[in-house]
Amino acid sequence: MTQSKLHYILRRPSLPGSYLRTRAHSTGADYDTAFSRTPPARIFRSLALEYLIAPVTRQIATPTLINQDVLDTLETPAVIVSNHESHLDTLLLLSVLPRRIRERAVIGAGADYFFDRRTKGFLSALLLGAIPIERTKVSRRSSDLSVELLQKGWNLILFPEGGRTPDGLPQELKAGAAQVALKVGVPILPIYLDGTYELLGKDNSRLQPGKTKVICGKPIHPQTGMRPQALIEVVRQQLEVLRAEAATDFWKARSQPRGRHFPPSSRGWREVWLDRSHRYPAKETSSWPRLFGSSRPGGRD
Amino acid sequence: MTARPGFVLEVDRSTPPTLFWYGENFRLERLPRSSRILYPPEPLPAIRDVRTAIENALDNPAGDQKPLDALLFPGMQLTIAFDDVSLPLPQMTAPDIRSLVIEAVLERAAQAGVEDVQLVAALALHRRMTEGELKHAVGKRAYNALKPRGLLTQHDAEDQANMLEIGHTDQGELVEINRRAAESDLLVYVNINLVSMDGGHKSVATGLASYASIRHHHNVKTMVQSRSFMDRHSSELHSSNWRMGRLIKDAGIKIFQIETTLNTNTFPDSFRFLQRREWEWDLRDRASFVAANGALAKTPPALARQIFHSIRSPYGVTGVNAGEVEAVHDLTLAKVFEQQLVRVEGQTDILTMGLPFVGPYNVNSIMNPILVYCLSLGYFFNMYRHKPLVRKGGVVIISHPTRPEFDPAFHPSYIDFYEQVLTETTDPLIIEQKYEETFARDPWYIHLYRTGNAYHGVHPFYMWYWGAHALDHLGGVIVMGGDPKTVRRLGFKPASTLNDALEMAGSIVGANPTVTHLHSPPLVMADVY
Amino acid sequence: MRSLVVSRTPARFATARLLSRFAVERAVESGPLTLRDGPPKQPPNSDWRRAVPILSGICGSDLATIFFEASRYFDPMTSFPFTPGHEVVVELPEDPGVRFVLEPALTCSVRGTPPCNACASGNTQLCSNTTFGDLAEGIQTGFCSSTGGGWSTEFLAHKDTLHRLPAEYTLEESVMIEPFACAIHAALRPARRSGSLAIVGAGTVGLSILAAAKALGCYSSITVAAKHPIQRELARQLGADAVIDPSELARRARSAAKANRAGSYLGGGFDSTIDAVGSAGSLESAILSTAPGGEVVAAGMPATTHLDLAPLWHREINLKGSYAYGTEVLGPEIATRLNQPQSIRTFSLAIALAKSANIGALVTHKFRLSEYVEAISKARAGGKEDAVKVVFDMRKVKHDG
Repeated sequence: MTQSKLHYILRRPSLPGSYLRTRAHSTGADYDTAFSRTPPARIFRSLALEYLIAPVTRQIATPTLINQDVLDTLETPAVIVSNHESHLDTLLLLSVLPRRIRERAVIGAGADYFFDRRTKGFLSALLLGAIPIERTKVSRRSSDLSVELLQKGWNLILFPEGGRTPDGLPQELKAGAAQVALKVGVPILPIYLDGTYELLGKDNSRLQPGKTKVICGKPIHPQTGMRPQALIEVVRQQLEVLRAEAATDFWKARSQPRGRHFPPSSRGWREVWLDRSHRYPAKETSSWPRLFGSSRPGGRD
Repeated sequence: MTARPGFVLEVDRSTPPTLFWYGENFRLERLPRSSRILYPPEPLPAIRDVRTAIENALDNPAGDQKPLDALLFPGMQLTIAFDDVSLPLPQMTAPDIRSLVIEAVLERAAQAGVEDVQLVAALALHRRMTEGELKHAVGKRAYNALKPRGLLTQHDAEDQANMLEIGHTDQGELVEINRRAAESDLLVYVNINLVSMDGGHKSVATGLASYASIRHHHNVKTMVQSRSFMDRHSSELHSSNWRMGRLIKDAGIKIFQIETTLNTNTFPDSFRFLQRREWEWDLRDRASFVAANGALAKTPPALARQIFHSIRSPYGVTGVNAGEVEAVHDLTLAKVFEQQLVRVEGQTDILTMGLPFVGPYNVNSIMNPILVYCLSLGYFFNMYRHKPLVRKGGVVIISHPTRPEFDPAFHPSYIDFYEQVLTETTDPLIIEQKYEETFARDPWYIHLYRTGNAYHGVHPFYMWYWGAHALDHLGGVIVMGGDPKTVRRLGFKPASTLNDALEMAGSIVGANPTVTHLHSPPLVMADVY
Repeated sequence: MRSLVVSRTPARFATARLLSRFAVERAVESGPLTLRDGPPKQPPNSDWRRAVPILSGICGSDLATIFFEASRYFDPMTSFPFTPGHEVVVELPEDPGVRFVLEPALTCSVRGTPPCNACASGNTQLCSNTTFGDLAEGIQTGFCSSTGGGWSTEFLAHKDTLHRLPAEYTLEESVMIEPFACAIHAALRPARRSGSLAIVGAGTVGLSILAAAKALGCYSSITVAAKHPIQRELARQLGADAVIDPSELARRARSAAKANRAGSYLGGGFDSTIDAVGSAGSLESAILSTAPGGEVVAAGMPATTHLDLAPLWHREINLKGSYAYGTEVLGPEIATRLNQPQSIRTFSLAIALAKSANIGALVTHKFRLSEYVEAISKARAGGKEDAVKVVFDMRKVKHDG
């Protein structure tokens, strides 16, 4: 008797055959992230970032932040755009942004990748403040949400390349970020991230700790009547200079603007080889302990 | 501090016990009085600035060859072949010398505007390298730039479509090598010359060849006539490779050979007692020997193996030579001999040797019984010039546990060879005639060789041929501390202690035999007069 | 008359099974088997003879009964108390010096019932009347309370079940004829009587099947998986093409067929495999090592087992049983080679081939009836203690008396 009662309690009642079931929850671009911007979720995220995610990321990626004053004086809300080399990029940005920006920031994340399953969507939204962005097609819903959040005073972090680079070289920028910034009339700030591809690139199966650079550009205030394409071109020019600066130094990047196009004109092995040479200094250092003289994993995968 | 030369020690009553490798462990054995022990020269001083040495070699090639920069031009096809994971042993601490050379070559190619570059691991019939091993060998920078574009490849001796027949030598040997390498405007070969067998024309003629071509020198007849295959001027194996190499050169294939030599600084500081002479062991050496020996004896073999295979050797680079193959190889050999050669007067009745945990064919894997056979009778026995260290009809005593363990992923054909061939016969000639063809053509082995990380089906046969000269020469082989059933299947005799082994050997070579011990590590080569 | 008797005593059966794992001799002593003296059984009619065993074999099915490891399936086909022993060479008191071998099946003709369909067609091993008729239940002499059995100094045998043996047959060959007949039947079970054959297990069953297959000469190669040194030695002596360790079976199957392999999946294998063990492990490895579409014959007696049948399903393996013997249809090729009729009683064929097949070599140990504890322990240890076929030798019992 008790057992059958238990069964009755635990088993969902069957649906009558004539009753049409509708899906109560949705995923992808339709995933509702409103919960992640409620006070309890924000407090949780703030604590997790402050005491767990940011310290660990700094340990792994050892970032050098260049032009920090830009961040300190940035007027918010703003759209922050960056090149995209690795999953580490989001974490790295969050760990260097000042608290004032970070705690009121949402991140545009690929709806197909981060919101394909409910659990994944929930965690992305809760821990990173991610919102789903449709990257394969123009989505009214994604841009409406972005606009709405900017208007409410949230900062928006976007990767206009639309996805991680397959080979470490930058890709074509999409104009969506510029379009949103124009629509709301907020500044757009380019930031160049250097070195995360070597730490955890698209094909890397394991994480390799190392050093990275985060270089802030200058905020661009859109003028009314500007076309999104024109605005994103300004962003592109800034990123091209910052990219050269990451490989050389401030002066060389501006005095000898050659090579290092953003994105490069061709994508052969030479471009990767020459372009990323600064990532492989002759003398290597590792933060891992050396066992039996080993300094790099060389065994079976 | 200059390196002290090698020498031959005569054992007397005050000589401390001698170190023997014993697989994933060591043992200290007291050799009988007036035995001789061959100690190799100490590690030669290493080049401080290897990168500059490489640049110099590329700019100042040996022999009839232009500097590398003069050979590079935009629009050319460049192939860089490199030695596979079987060298050096154990693997080097990063950066691997190959990666430094490859980076230097790629840098120049990039500056010269060469778009069409391909890296090829010169596997011959060895197993394909794992991604981690590749990354270690070519370096992360080259790996990241070339791998995603499919420009980092591994030679496939069974890919008939990508083989090019160069022709036949005057002895009728077929020469057939990697099509990409043969059709390139320039083939750069990056080698590590750990022992004197490596390098020279063997690099391309064997490393990039097909089974049909390799079989012309990897056979019993050639191996019995290679005395030894470590001495290229008395080695039929090398004569055949040199004939092939000259044919390749005459066919107009441009090869820029870069050979590198290492010193014998094989073990990191935690195992430094391994490369010191026993009477010079200080308190720390003695303590770490006792601790390591005791702990390893209680460690399960699989774990002990993992520990040893994670060792990376702090080898120092002693030479980088580039240019025309034969001119380069002469310079290389001189350097190898300088490091490894010890002059010995007269042969011996009994030769003793300890086998380590690793040989060329079990990097990151198990030293199976067939590899024990090959390392002892193939490699160590042949570490001589002029005359074998042991006399005709003499005995070799090996120290190794010889457990019947195999790696099914790397050595699938070895298991079948052990179970299906060695149970029938151990005679290399019969094995070659009766079984080689079946194993070499077995489609499953070929599949695993081409797509997995397995040695080619014929590879265990080569292991067996490698020992053919020794089998022909010796009166008996005794394995001290080996698993008796396994040792018998190899055609050897098991003994539990060195004294038992010496008694057994005495019954073969006669009373009061002379004993010589090949002290290893590090590598030593005997120059016997 | 002295005989070993198995009686229905549940406690003793349970004790035997419990002890059989670690104290075999104690298990036999405490088990259901006892040595008894008593009056001889009287023949019910003139068709029955009083037979005097000379040698009497210990079979795997006897051991399974004694140690209570046989399937409960056989319970209704056994009548207690019975005397085991169905591999018997006998003499008749009225005809001393002439030896007979017993065909122990208790089928319609012996039971006085009209022949069932199976018996009428010659497939006496499939007789449906083994629990009916004049006699108590029992599929064979040695499991039936009415007849007695071979582990005694005397039992009853129907005159039609006694086959007269040529004088030149040794006692060892004679006592092996019954198991050899089973083996011939098993070796002829694969529908495709050609190609490569593997025999898993090299106890009496495996080795006699090897001898049978060799004598029939229809298989292109015979591989025997043998665990123990004596088994390997005998397998080589009996002419196996390859003698391997059971762990090598799949690898041998692969290289023999030049097939591909992925994990335990083999793209090819032996054309037919005969399992002469009957354990889950041996059956599974037999199924995995047989070529897709091939046949596996279960010749060793299995009991309740847990088997992964996915490979059987996927590889479309035919799994067949093989029990005892009956009438064989040889087909023209084999019949010509053996110079025998195309349709022949298995037992007659076994008698005809026993001498040349050297089947007597399998008898390794002889014990007196009074040494039954040692005998059964030895038989149970089998190859582990260098034994293959263990038999009781009654001549020595007479010497005792």
